[in-house]
Amino acid sequence: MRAQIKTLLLMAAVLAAIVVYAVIPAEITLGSYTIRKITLARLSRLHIEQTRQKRRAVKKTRRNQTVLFIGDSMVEGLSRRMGDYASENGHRLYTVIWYSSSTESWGTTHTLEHYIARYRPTYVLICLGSNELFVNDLASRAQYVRNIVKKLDGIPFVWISPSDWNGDTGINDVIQENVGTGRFFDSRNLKLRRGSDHYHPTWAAAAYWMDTAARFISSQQCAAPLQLNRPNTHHKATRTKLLQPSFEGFK
Amino acid sequence: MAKITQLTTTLLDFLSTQDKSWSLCTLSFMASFLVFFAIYIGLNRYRQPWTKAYVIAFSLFFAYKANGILMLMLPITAISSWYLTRFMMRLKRGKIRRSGLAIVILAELTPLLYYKYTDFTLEILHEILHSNFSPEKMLLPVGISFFTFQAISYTVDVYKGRYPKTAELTDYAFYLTFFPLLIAGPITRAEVLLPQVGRPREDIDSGLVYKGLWLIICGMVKKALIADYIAQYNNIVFDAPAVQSGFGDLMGVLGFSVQIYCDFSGYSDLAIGVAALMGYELKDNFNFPYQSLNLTEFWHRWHISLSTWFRDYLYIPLGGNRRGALRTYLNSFLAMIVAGLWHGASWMFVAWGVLHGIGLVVHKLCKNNGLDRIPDNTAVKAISWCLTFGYVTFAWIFFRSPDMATATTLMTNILQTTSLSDAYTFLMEYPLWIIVVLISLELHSIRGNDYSWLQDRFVHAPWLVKLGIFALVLQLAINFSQHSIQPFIYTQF
Repeated sequence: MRAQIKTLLLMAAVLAAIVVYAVIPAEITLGSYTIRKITLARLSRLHIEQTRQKRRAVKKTRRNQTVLFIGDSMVEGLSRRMGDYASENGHRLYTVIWYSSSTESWGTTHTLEHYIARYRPTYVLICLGSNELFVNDLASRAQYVRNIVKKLDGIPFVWISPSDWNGDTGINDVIQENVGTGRFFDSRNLKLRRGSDHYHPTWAAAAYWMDTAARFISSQQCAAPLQLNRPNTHHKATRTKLLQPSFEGFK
Repeated sequence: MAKITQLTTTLLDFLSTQDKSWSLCTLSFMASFLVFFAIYIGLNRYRQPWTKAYVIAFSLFFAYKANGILMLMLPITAISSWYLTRFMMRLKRGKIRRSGLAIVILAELTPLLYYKYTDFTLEILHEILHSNFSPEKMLLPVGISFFTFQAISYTVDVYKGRYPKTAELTDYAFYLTFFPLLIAGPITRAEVLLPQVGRPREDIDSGLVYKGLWLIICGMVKKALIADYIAQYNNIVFDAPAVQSGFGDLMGVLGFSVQIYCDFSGYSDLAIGVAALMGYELKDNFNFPYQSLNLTEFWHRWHISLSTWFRDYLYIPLGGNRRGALRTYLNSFLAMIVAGLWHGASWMFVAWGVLHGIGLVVHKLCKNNGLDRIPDNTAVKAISWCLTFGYVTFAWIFFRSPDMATATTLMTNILQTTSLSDAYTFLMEYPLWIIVVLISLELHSIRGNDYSWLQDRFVHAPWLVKLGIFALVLQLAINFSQHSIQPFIYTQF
């Protein structure tokens, strides 16, 4: 009995210390090593969130959509796989790849409006930011991202974040903060095998990237879930427009 | 006032909602357990008869958190199994009682067969008939395979006279619903736990309690520090093997061998440890399985409670090794296929069972034809270890891969594209992952005596040392933890 009481006190003391540490504002560091806290607030929010989710109606999954996929050269690999998804899920896919483009290119020109008017998409996928992983003018980038979101004028969209290979200076966070909940697919944790240029993922890695993104886009986590059941065979994405780096955008 | 209302709401919310990540390794469980344990100690001291009811109630709450409304399966199974077993024992000895036994086992197996194999059967029919329907995925109650096997073992043991038929319903319900064993075993026999349920618990051995704490620490290290960390890379490999280099895939397969051991034996340590804190002594479920020098030895060391269950309730009733060599091979092979199917209704688990069946048959065949005459020196031991570990690791590919295409892609990639130049790239990209895997394998190679010595040192260490170690391990687990805790692999079986 005494051993049980001692063990109970021991466990309670450790758990109490962890909870107290989570509550106090200070953070203990040993050299470069930070002693991490448990996130009590997140836990309670999780419960409330779970309850809210139960009450909230299940989001409708969109079928037979006209999807516009825009972005930089990373879209080349992604859209190849997206073509498989589109064909097998009844969507019509239009792709616009603007090589070396950035949020600035799309946010300060009328290129996006031009293609929206031309293809009349009901869903938009964006993959931009790979050319801005190491930029320092984050405030300007935030404005460009907001411009792009504004240009979409309410069309449901998902932004596939750039998959970095050596970290970033903050573009991922900027995009995440400005696109809204359920519209940002975070590619940061993915380890993608790169091709001979050490920059673009191999075809297989890009397909894996798209597969992972598709799981998010079709899930209830996504603000506007799109039906993207895993395809069984390959279908070529034929409706693709390629814009060269020298293209200055529609004014 | 508002804070009290908010606190009450959060508490009620916690008590009334299912939590899919609920397990012995979560902080919410630990906090609940501390409250439970404090009352348990008090009740045990002054109101011993109430303790059983209290533990059953907490076990049912535990089952509700893990299973939601499906937890009702547990008390229904407990009551029906207890009543039917009693009824069976009232039948006349001989053929009638034997038929009764078959009916009771079938009744106990029916929920498991229904929940686990309906989809699988429908899918096979769908393949055969080329129909265009797609069956809805059925939810599998967590731990159903484990408590069903415990119920069957009780019925058979009572029938065979290995265990008296006198167990009271409360004792039996305690045995079948005991929360540490609920999610992933170990599958505990009635003869191990039931006699302890009825025994007065006034004087609990302090060595057992501190051993429990030691096992909880070991379980946390294995699960939270090792298995969950290395799972991150293994998941990438098994999700898309073509994306990685051949060497990367090879490392993923090796990593999974370590992950599944640390995950499952970590859970077993936690379960046995929690039971020991309460004063119940359960048998070990793992005994350093990757130290085995052949496949038969591996199955004596891996998931011991399951392998002995299959030995006693399937292999021996099929005839065991009493009906000649050929029948022995066939029985071993069949037992392994059933063991594969027990893990899940999928052809991949069947393939895994077939591989282990073949391995066991080949080992028995060689043993009967001169394997024992080979000198037992270091070189032979090294080769035997490499062969056994290599074969077990190879079989895990089928266990982990979602489908045959993934498994074949993985193996093809390993065989065709593995090169040493990729090893350097891999080492540079995942240095910590490699260190964790290598340290785990090194720790696994500890001698049994050394492990017992370490455990003994901990048990007899001063309270403050224990406190320091527990705090350190828990904090490391928090520091290493990912965004979400990986579910225990064996909870899905």
